[in-house]
Amino acid sequence: MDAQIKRGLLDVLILAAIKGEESYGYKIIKDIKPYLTISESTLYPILRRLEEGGYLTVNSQEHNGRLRKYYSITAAGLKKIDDFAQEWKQMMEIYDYVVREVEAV
Amino acid sequence: MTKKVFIDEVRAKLKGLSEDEISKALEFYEEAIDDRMEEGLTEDQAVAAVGTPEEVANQILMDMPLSKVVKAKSKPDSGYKAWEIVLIILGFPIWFPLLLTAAILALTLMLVVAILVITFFIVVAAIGIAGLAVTFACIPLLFTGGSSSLLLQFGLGLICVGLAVVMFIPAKAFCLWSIEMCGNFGRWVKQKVISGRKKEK
Repeated sequence: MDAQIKRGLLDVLILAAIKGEESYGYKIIKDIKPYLTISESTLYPILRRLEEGGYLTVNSQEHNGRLRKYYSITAAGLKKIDDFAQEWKQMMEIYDYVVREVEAV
Repeated sequence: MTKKVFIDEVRAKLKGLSEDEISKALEFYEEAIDDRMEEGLTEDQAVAAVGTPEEVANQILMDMPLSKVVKAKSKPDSGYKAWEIVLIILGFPIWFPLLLTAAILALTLMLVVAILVITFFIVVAAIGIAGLAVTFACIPLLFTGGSSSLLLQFGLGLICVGLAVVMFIPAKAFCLWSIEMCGNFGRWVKQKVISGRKKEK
């Protein structure tokens, strides 16, 4: 997949993974694995960028005697997902049209 | 590799970044290793699953602004040794002009590209404006008694306007392309700085 597209997709995919309830690094990787396989070294910079952009917040909670960082989505994060959905709806309409035209020939 | 060795190695490769930045990153990877061990992997397997220290450190550095990477890279692992300081001071007349030349060259390159783009736009705009001026200047004269040379001038004016409109498209493409090339150049420099750092080890 094109690197630029993958980058954009990953942002939204990760936000979607924490949309329902807050989640942590390893769980996010496992949750999105059916769609895109990424490693921690890919995830970390993205989480940092999303945090800096205000799309998610981080808080540490105790788990089995150690701290674990949980990520929860913000209003800006929800809007980013929404914008993505809108944009792709339009793209899918174009896709449908293009495929129809190709098959018509 | 044990978790401790992994964390220490990443820390060493990130030396020069702010402590806050480093500990934030290390906490994240430590948690990743712990979570995998909790799931039943051995310490060795869990560390391997997270990636090599090199990969991890490079990814973190690639996401930093260039200035921070250069700063991190220019800091040696264990301070400067006395002879290194002497060498740096004595070598000043050599390395300083070299560094300055490199910086000026890079700046000149960008300037040349920028001027090229601007010149292109000015030429296109000049052709367009000249064309418009000639065309409009001819219109009243055409009614008061047009000669063939006037008609030729009128035609030339129209050609100029058309040419300017057509040339605007490649001018815009050229502008966008040069912006992209400048971005690529920056990324290339960053890659060089990071991989240079790797070879030092």
